[in-house]
Order: sequence, then C-alpha cells, then structure tokens
Amino acid sequence: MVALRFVLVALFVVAAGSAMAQATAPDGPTLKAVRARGHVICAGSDPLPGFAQLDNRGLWTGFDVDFCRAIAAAIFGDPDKLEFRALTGDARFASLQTGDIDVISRDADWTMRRDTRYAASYVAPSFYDGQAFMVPASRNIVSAYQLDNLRVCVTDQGDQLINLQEFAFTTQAQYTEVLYEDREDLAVAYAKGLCDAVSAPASWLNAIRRGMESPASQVILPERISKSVFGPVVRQGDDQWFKIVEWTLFALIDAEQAGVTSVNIDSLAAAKTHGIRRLLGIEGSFGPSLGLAPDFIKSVIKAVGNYGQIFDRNFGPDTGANVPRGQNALWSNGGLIYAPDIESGDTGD
Amino acid sequence: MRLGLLALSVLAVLAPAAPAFADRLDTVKARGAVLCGVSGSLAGFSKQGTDGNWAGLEVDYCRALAAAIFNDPGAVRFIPEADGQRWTDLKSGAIDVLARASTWTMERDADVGVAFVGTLFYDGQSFLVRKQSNLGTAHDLSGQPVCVEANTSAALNAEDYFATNRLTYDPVTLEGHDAGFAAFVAGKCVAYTADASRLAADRSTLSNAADYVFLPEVISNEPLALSVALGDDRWFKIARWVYFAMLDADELGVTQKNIDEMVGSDSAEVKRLLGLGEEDFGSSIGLSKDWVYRIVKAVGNYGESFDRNVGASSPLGLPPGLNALWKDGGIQYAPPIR
Repeated sequence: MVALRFVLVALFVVAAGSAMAQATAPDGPTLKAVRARGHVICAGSDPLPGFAQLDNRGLWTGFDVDFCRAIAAAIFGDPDKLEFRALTGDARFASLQTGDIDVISRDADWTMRRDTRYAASYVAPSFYDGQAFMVPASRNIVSAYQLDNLRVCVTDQGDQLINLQEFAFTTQAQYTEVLYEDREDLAVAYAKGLCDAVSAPASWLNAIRRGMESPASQVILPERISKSVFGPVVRQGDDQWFKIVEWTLFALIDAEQAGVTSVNIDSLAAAKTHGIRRLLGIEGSFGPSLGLAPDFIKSVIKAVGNYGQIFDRNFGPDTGANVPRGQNALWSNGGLIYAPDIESGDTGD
Repeated sequence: MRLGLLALSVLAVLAPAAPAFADRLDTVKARGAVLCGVSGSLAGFSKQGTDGNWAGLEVDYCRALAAAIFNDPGAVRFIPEADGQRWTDLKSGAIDVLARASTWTMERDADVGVAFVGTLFYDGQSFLVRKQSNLGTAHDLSGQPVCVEANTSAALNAEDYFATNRLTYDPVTLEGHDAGFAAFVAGKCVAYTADASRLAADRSTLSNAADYVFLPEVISNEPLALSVALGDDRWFKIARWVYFAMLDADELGVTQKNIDEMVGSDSAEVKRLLGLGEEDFGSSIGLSKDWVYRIVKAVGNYGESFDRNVGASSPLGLPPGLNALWKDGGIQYAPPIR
C-alpha cells in the first residue's frame, strides 16, 4: 500500500511536470497560445526602410510587417490581429526561445549557426540579398567591374570587409577603404560625401538610399559579391507552427505563380483550373490539417496580396527607390523564389 | 475507480510527450547503419546494378548521410519503398529518411505527418514524343492522343494545361505508370506525359532511346524532396544540412577529386566548410567537425552526383536545368556554413 501510494505520487509529479512542459511539446502549443491571446506576436527587422518602418499614423509597414500580417490573416482571417515588434541582435532569438514572440518574420540571414544553435528553425527562403555597391547615378557607372580609384565606405560586420577586399583583388581595382562600425554611420558618411561608393548588403543600400533627399539619384549596381538569404524563423519543437508559417509563405508565392492577386481574387470563384481552385479552397481541403480554415489562403491574399504584390508595395517604383526583383523574382522568371504546390500528391511520385 | 481514472488521465497527459524522447541519431548510431527509403528501381535515382551495387542520386544522398555520421558511406541499408508504404514506414521509424522521389505537396506536408527537408531534384511534368513525329511544341498535341497515368496529378495538370492554352485534350488514360509508357511505345499515343525524371529513366531502358525526344514545355513543378518523421528537430537538421553541405561544396568548387588539395585552401569559406576553422559546426547537430569533408570525400558534391547519375555523364542525359546551382542559372541554393 505504501509502495502503491508512492507510485501514485510519482505519477502525479511526472504528470504535472509533463503538463508544464506542454508549452514546448510538439502538439500545437504555439497556435493554442496565439488563439488564446487573440493575436500573433511577430518580430521583424529593427526599423529598416522597406522592411519595417512606422508610417505617419504610427503604424508599422514594410515587407517584414506584411508577412506578419499574412500569418495573422491565415489564422484569424484578419491581418490586424497582430503585434509587430522590431527587434535586433540576439534579443530576437532569445525572445523566440522564451515564447515572448511567436515568429521572426525576416531578420538575420540564414546560416548554419543560427539554424542549429539557438533552438530555432529557419522555415524557408523568403528574401534573397547579397552584398552590392551603390554609387551616385551622376557617375554613370553601370557595373561593379567599372569601379576603380574610388573611396569605398564599408563596415566590418560579418564578412563585408573581406568580401570587398576579395572582389577588389579579383578585379584588380584600386580603392581606399573608409571603414565604419554600423549601418547608421555608413549612411551618414556616404550622404556627406566622405566616400564615392558604398558597399553593403543590397537591402541596407536601399535603406540608406531611402533615407537620402533624392533616392533616385543613387544607383545600386547589379552585381552581388556575396550571397545571403533570409526567411522566417520559428521556435524548435512545434511542427504544426513551422508548417503554418511555411505554407503561409508558400501560398503567397503560389498565388503569384498562378496570377491570383488581392485585386482579382473575388472574381475567380468560377475559375476552372484546378490550381486556382485549390488556392481558393474551392477544391481539396488543405487548411484544416494545419488547424486553419479551408479558405485560409484566400484570407491571406485578400489581406496582403501575393508575394509579388508585397514586393512591389515595399520596393517597387512607388517607393521612389525601385528595387529590381533580381533573385527575388519567381523561379519561372529567372529568380529563385519557389514554392511547392497546394496539391494533394498522388500515388507514383 | 478513482485509481483507474487517475491512471488514464496520467497516460493521456504523458502520451504526447513520448516521441520527444526517441532520438533518431542515437538510434541510428546504435544500429550502426542508416535505413534509407529509396525508389528501388528508378534508373538514375536508385537502382541496383548487375553487380548488386546501388547507384543513383537518392543513393548518393543516403551515402552522404552515412558518411557524415559514421565516416563510412557503406553504413546504409537501402529499402525500396512502395507508393503507399513510404509514409507509414517513415512515421513508424522503419526508415530513418525517405530519399525516394516524392513530390513535396501541401497535403503531404500538412496531412501525412512528415517533415520535408529539401528538394533533391527539381522535376516537372513534360511530354516525351517520337523524334520522327516532328512535333515541335506541346501546342502541336492539340487533338492528338496523349497517354497519361489515370488518377494522378499528371492527368489534372495536363487537363489544366490544355484548357489554359485553349487546346483540345484527347487523353488516353491508363492504370499505372508502366502501362502508360508501354501504351505510348506501342504507338497508342503520340506523346506520353509524366515527370521528366521518369520519362528520362524510361527512355534510358529502350534500345532505341535516341528515337525519343522531350518537347520543350514543362507544365508543372514537381520538387522531388527528402523527408523525415516529425518531432525530432536534430534529425531534421542533420538531414537538411547534409543536403545543404553537398550544395555548398559544389558552390565553393570542392569536389571529391580536389578535396585533399582544398584542405590547404586559404579561403575562409572553404575552411569553415571542411571543418578547418575555429568553429565546430558539426557539433551543433551531433556530428564530427570534419563532417563535410567526410561527405565530399565519400560521394562528391551535389553537381558531381547529379552529373554521374542523371546528368550528361549518365544514360538519362538530363540537362541541369533548375537543378543547376543558383549562380549557374538554376535554383539549387543552400545557406552557408557560417
């Protein structure tokens, strides 16, 4: 009897421990918490024009914000059920681990260290970047291979300085390094004319340009002297949440591929092509197995548009600093943006 | 009665946590071999030669995994996976990884309960025709009999393609892939439509393979992807980064042939790849510091494997297409080991 009671107590303790550990168990804890809270907490880049900025109404806008809105729309059918946080540095991974945030929209570039050491998982590529050069348009330079006898502003963050040195070695260009600590200093120095060109990730260059009086007076040269890719990041251990974020991204890409936009989506209810019918949730049933509505993709596209629309809204000509799609074009248009289909998969392959 | 209820509630609470305790890497190490699910008889992807040796793109990935874990590309058992059985085997743990050509789709990703790791081969639905038929594009197939396997996404894709392009679709549907191909070869149709990899493999088995050509159109995207069971993040990361490592080696020009010279490279990227820098990347996924060296030494990089098994140096003779590296016009891309 004593022995039995001991076993019972032990079981209680294990049960209680297990119940507490449920927050990180693989059975959908994040979605549960998000629903209970009533909104998604989604982190993006620290303020970076194009990716995340406060507009004049005090609302966050940008590429990173739009993807957060897409996740909110997928879950709640409402893109505003969202708390966006601009985080920087290691804080973002720590916040993910502790459960303070549900997902990082797009911030640190995807490396093996970040993918394997912080109990976090990169979901899939959503934005391709790479180190580039920016020069004043008045110089009439069209290619990085023309750069010679210039002062180049650069930071020593990551491999940026090394990349510049290796590129200059390859092209045998003469240049003077003007070294700075961070993006802000780089922007100030370049705007004040302390250098003739600036080399940094293309996403930074665009941000620097947008902070200048006349963004269109600056040209980002087409060459990329390093590769980097960004994508959403989730906490490890919740497969359902990983897949919700993953298929929200893939749905944005698949919608662009299929020509489904926020503008035409309501007129496509009678579409006959299987691909479009599956996207709209008219054919097949793809949301419920992820805990989402059958027409979650329709909610997403209505709220934020497809991938191409998001890109154009944040980096297109209307921003005054047009960024070519480049590697962020669809794979079928010469870029690298790709998603598996909203499809069932059959026997055979 | 109270005891019974209590026991039940305890079980109910404990049950979901159970899979977290099963560590796949530990299981694999204890067994001494990776159990790798493969197609089994698909030329170029996984097939046993007359000498009994396995070869193919799927096979090389399995061997890379074994090399990374055991420093021995032979520490792998190849398990041919039938259509219906593959997901069950993956979930039950009868196999550690599924390398068998399987299209990554939303239903499989969301419903089946597996995790897709990455796309080993970007495939797409194509049309195979006889060279002498002088058919130049898929538009020439309007109103002509096209063989297709019944009840497949290929049948739906073809239907969409013909409708979208306002062409007349005259399908000849057959049960089973092999029956479809046989009907085409027997002259029942002017074209057979299926994934290009399948068509190329089928064609390579014909004595008059050169008499058959592909039309230029690719009418679907079929990412043939690797997958693992859910719930073991470290194993997912091992499977993912072994695939990425084969791509990163390709990008940095590190090959099976030159790897022992590359060990002396001054490039920081090559040093990190081969485990010669300060940071030990392998340890973050339970592998050795020289895990990528082991992989490339044993099976080569992605491009070498592609070329040998399905590319220009193989009977399939497929062009790299989307499977070229991103910097060479394809879309194969891996984040860096950094």
